[in-house]
Amino acid sequence: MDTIIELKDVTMKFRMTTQKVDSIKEYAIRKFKRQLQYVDFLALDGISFDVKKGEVVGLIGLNGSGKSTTLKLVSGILKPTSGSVTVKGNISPLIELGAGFDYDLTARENVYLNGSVLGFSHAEMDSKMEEIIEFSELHDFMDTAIKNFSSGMIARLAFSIATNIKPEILIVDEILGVGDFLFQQKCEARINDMMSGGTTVLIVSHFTDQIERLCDRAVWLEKGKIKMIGEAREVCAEYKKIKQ
Amino acid sequence: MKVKKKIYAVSVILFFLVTFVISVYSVSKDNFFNKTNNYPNKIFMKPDIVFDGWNEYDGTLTSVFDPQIILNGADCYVHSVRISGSSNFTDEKIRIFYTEKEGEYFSPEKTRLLDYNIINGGMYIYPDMYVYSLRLDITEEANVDLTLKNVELNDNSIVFSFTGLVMQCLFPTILFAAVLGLIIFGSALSSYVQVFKKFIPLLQNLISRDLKVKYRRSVLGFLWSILNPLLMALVLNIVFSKLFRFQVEYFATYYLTGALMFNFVIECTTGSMMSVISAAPLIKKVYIPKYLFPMQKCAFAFINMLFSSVAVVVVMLIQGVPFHAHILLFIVPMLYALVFAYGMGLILAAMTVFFRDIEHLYSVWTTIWMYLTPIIYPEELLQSSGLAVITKLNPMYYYVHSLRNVVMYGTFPSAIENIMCITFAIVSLALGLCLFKKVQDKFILYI
Repeated sequence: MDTIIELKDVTMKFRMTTQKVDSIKEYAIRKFKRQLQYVDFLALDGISFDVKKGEVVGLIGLNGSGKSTTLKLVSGILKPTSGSVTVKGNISPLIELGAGFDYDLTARENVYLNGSVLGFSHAEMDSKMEEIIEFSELHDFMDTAIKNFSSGMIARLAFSIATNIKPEILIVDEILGVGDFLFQQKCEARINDMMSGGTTVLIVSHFTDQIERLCDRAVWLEKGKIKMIGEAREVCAEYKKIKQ
Repeated sequence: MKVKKKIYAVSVILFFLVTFVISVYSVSKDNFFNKTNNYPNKIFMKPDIVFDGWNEYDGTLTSVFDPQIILNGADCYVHSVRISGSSNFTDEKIRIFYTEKEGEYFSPEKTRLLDYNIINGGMYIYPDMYVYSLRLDITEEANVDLTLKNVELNDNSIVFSFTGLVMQCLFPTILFAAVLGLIIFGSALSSYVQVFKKFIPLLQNLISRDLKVKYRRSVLGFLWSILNPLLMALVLNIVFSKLFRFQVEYFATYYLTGALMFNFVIECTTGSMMSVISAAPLIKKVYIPKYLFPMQKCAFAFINMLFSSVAVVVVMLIQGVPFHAHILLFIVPMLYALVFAYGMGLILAAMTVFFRDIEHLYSVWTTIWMYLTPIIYPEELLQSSGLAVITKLNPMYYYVHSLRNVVMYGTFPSAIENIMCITFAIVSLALGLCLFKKVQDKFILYI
């Protein structure tokens, strides 16, 4: 099978100044006094893995282990300090809910806006509109400004758009925890659908049950390094052990 | 692809021909159809006012009662001067004095016997030379009731030089060709263009969102873009016609054209400056080419400018400024300025991400820049006060000046002005793109 995502020896280093310097004057003075202190923070330390086309891969790990950074690298938001990230195909990132939503616009306008953020034209979104409304169950609210929506409604809309544009790669960052029980089931069903349709999915979740249910493989990150990589079931089992 | 190429070639050639025909028409109209062409900004003293400062020079040259025309700081190649009045002109009656440098006095050494031509009672004189200042003394014939109606200064590089004509048509054509080429052959160019094309819908959406947000909940909506400059022009017109007496004909139009250009560039740059920072929520969640945000703000400012330009037309109608076919070419200086402002916007946006104080510094600079640019005062003021170097180095001067030439005075900006406009635009764009590209990957860490 083709490799669709490839991370090769990726290191992500954040340089954090100990004091926040955001004025020229301060910068100049500190530079002059040699007081510009940096603390390098290694978010990811030389990780490599690849994802084959059609695979569903889960990322697990404790907070601060580098899961979200990995997703951001894959979706192109961050550029690695060293190493390379190669991605073939278009991505629908659900890094956070409602990326590119404008809360003053109506749900319908946001569908177009969000679609265009992912690179789809007005006409293309028109053809998907029916399905999006159908899936999100927001029939009566499409012309309401989304600032009046509940977080569950926004999650439904966002998930609905992201999955309806039929991306080659879907990136999901802990959003399956939102919405009611029924909608969660629906989301899972949709992801299963997409998987069988050949979509590659990358999921971050703290719920190991979910990872086990959905994923083929899992990557366990700890402090920016890969602790374990393999069958989702095995990795999750190991991961659960340290919980106790 | 072949069809596309043909369309491309044909439209570029057509565009060139159209601009060429317009410029030839304007030249022939001025010279053969004998219509007058006003350069009010070049006439420091009104022609029918007798200038009485001659005593300083040489008392024997002329009598104080004889009409004189003084063109101070003309600083150009004067091809022809036209004088018309109630008297019938003959030769011998006109003496022309000139200076070649700033600060030089008119002197008997610098007089010229001139060729002349009388058409329809108007007299054409052809100094056909470069002058800094020009003085015409009308002797003997002149009596008190002589009125001088029009003085034409024809920049030779515009009027008769064929190369000049080609040059000035060439630059808009190059620009046109570049833009059209991008549109037609976009897919063939590079991955950058492919990415850009993918995000065009987003650009459209962002711009339309800006427009919606700007005019939401205002009764008059986009009419404010027209009303705002109109009211400003009204106020300034009152202030400047009552308090300060600058000799600028059609002051309101003069001010508005300048302000239109200036405000457009400022709106582009200040909008771009904050664009990347305010797009933080988006940039943090999805991959979007970051140059899109300054572009969005510039396009938004361009649309606003188009609305506001209606105000200029309204004021021109009210003041009775003659309309020329050239007015349609106002888009050319605007496009130059757009490129310039986008480049500047990229630089500002990139710098502001790292140092927020750029925002405050730039607002100070904006004020300074406004006073350095002849918007509310006549262009000659800088030259006559020895600050001509400012106008030479100030990109905004060229954009403002070109726009006024096209809109108010019905002339093409000269080839050299076009070159200056384009040079500033390209340099700014190149610098902006380089800087932006270099630091854009670090944005995410600072916003």
